[in-house]
Amino acid sequence: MDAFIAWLQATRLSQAIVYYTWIWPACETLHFIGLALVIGIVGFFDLRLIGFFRRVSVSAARELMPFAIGGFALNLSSGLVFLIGHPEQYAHNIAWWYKVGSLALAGLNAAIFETWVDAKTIHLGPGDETPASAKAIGIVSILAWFSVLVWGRMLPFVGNAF
Amino acid sequence: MMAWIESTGLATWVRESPSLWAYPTILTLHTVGLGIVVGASAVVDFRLLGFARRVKPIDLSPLFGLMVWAFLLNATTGVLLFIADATTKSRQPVFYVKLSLIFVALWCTFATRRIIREETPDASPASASSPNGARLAVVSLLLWAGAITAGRLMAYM
Amino acid sequence: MNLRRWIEVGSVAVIGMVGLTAVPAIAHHSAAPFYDATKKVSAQGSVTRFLFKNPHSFLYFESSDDKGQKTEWQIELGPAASLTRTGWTPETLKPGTAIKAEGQPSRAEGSHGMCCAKITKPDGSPIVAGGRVTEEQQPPR
Repeated sequence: MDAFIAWLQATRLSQAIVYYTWIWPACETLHFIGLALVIGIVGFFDLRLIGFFRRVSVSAARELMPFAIGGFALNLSSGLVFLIGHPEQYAHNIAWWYKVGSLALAGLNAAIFETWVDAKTIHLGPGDETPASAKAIGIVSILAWFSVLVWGRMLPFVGNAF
Repeated sequence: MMAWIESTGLATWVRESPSLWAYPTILTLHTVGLGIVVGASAVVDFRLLGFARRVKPIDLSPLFGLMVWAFLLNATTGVLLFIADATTKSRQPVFYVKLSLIFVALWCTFATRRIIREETPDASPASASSPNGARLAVVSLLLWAGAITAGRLMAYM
Repeated sequence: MNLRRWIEVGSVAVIGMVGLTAVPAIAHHSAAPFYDATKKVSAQGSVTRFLFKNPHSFLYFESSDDKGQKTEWQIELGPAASLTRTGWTPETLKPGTAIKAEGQPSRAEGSHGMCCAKITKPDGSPIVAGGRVTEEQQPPR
């Protein structure tokens, strides 16, 4: 791992990220904007799955998802800038690995929804109750995404935990 | 005055406590709050811009309540973060830019809520929103993005 | 009509303000010192002040050269919340403690700041016996 970090730090891209000092704050700003889009749009859909906003049909609640995906894309790209620019801040930071784990959980949960649960909810209209599986997906999703946020914000503080 | 605020027991605790439950948690809750406020606002704004037309704007009303609670969380955590470093933060122009942007954004939020209640309560799901609603939505999105930017820049300016 | 006008004028003003705050960042100006990761600077002296706090702690020390010229240095460290895991407390670096520091210099001209420093006793051993000489993780900006 340390050899990989050293190699990464020596790349032109990594050095450019460190050299051009406006890149980091700009990426941080994009990262926060992206997280708001994900939390808001995914969160709204999750709340419908759980059973709130019942007057909205489930499929309608999902229609803003492209914007959430756009937000996630912002975070993935700005996140890569952070990783490439200062890999040493993340590799040995347990908060980072918990964040990765939370992302994996969020992703797995979404995949489970897409393959198994979606079919049970797509036809649900205004006023319809969602099945227990959908409620579970919604709860796990909200917890997972907030966990991504929390571990991310804790990165500078949990650093020496290893 | 700012120096006195900074010297209080509460401000000192926020600033100097080595506990993860102090400053780090306060800062994290501030981020949680902004995720909810800006995120919920984005959902309403995108609907007013004509996306997700099968959602009736009036059905999004509970989001405003959620935004109020999240905003109170940020106002509280924001005060705690401010007092810990009052002398520096009170002298940062970008901090006042942030507060101004938030103030105007909140005004837009209340205006949006009024428009949704008055202009579109019985609107069928697919009807277009009023032009005022769409304009407020664009301004709201820009203002919150600006507030986030100003907030982040406080660490640098 | 009036409402729309106000919103339009207001949003232009606000966007203008945001733009103004962005320009200094793009122009590399910043009140907070940035550090040059390609350079190294080292100094030795005695601690004058240790600000153990969140989000960034600061260690101030004074070095003097052969001519007796004194220079005040500033080392930027991470938050108190994570320094505490390095084994450091506000009492660890009392004024008068002799230290040697090696780190990345501040970009701000004429300043004597550094970050990401290795901090030891003048003989190179850790400040706290058996402890760390660097923060495991440097303060991210």
